[in-house]
Amino acid sequence: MNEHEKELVEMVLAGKTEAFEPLILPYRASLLNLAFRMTGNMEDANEAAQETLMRAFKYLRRYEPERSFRNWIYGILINEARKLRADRANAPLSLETEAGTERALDANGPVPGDAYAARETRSQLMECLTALTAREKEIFLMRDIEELSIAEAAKALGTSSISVRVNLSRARKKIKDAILARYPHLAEDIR
Amino acid sequence: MNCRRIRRSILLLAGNDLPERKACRLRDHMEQCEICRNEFRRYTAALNKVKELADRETPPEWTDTEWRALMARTISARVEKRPLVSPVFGNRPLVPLIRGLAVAVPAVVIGLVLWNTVLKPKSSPVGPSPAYVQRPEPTPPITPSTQQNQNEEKEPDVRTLEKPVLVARAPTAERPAPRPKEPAAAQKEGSQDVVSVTLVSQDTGLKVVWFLDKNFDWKGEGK
Repeated sequence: MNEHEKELVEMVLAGKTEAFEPLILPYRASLLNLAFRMTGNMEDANEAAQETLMRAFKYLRRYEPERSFRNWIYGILINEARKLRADRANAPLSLETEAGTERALDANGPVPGDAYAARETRSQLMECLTALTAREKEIFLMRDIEELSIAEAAKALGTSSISVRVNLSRARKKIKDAILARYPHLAEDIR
Repeated sequence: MNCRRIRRSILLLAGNDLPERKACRLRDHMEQCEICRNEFRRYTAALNKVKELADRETPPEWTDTEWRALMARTISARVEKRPLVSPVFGNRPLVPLIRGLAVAVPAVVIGLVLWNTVLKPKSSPVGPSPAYVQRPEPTPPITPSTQQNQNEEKEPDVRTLEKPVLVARAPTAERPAPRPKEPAAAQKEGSQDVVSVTLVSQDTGLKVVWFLDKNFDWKGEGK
C-alpha cells in the first residue's frame, strides 16, 4: 500500500468520508471490468461492483495496511461475485440477464468502427472464459489478466498457492484449446 | 527430467510462475527436445493472445453521473465503528477466546488431577477429617477418684469450649470453674466474647450460670 492510499484510509476512518472517492478512483474502471468478466453480464457486474464499493467503505476499519489495497478490494469483489452466482444458481431462469447485457452494451449510443471491433473482441474473450469453471476463471483473471502474483491471488481468493497453481495450469490449457477450437483465425501462432 | 513431467510444468513456465531453478531445468530440456519446445511456444502464444484480447477490449464503465450517485450512496453509509482489529490477533475476534480456552481448559484439568492425587489431604477412613476439632464430651461428674485424674489430664482447648459445663456435687457446687490458662488464644479466635460457666448440683438440681468476659472478668450471674 502506498503512502497516499494510507493517508486517505486514515482520513476516511477519521471521519472525512469525502476522502473515499480519491482512494477508490484508481479502481473505478478495473472493478467494473473485472466484475463483468467474472459474472459474464453487465447487470450482475454492476451489482457486484457497487456492493463492493459499499462494503469497502463500511468495513474499511478491517483493512490491514500491510496488505495491498487493490488485493483487498479485489477480494471483496470476488466474494460479491460468488454470492451473486450462488443467488442466480438458485433463482429461476430468466431472459432478463442476456437482455440486460445487450442493453448495457448499447447504452453508450451507436457503436462505430473500432468500438464495434472491440465489442466483438470482448465477446471472443468472454467466449474463451466460458470454457473455464468458476474457480479457474477467478484464478485466471487474477493471475493472467489482472497480473497479481500467485501468492497475492491466493490471498485475494482465500485459497492456497498450490491450489492456485493447479487451477491456473488447467485454465491455461483450456484457454488454449478454446482459442484453437472457436477462433482458429486468432490462433495462427498457436498451431 | 522426462517429457511427461516437463509438460506438466510448461503451463506454469508460460506465465513465469516457476521458481528460477526449476525454470532453468525446463529450459535446458527444451533446448534439446523440439516437441516440448513447440508445446511451450503454443502455450505462450495462447496466453499472449488472451492478454492481447483483454487489452484491446473496451471495458464497461460507469458514467460520471452514475459514479457520483454511487459515491454519494456509498459514503452516506457509516464506517463500521467497532474496532475489530486487535493489535495481537488481527481482525479475528474469536481467536483470543479460542486460544484462552485452549490454555485454560487443560490447566484446570491438570490442576484438578494434581489436587486429587497429590495435594488433597487424605481423610481417615474412620471419623472426620483432623481439620475439624471435635467438641469435647461433657465432663463427667467430679468424684474424688476422678478429680485427681482430671487434674492430671490436659485441659481441653479453650477455643472449643463455647459453653463449658461443669457438674459438681453439692458441697462443691459453688466452686468456680477453673480459669482457662490461655485467654490470649481465645482472643485470637475472636469468635467468643462472653464465656458462661454453668454449675449444676446433682443432688438438688440447682443450676448457677456465671458469665465472664473474654478476659475472664466477672460479668454477671444467671439461673
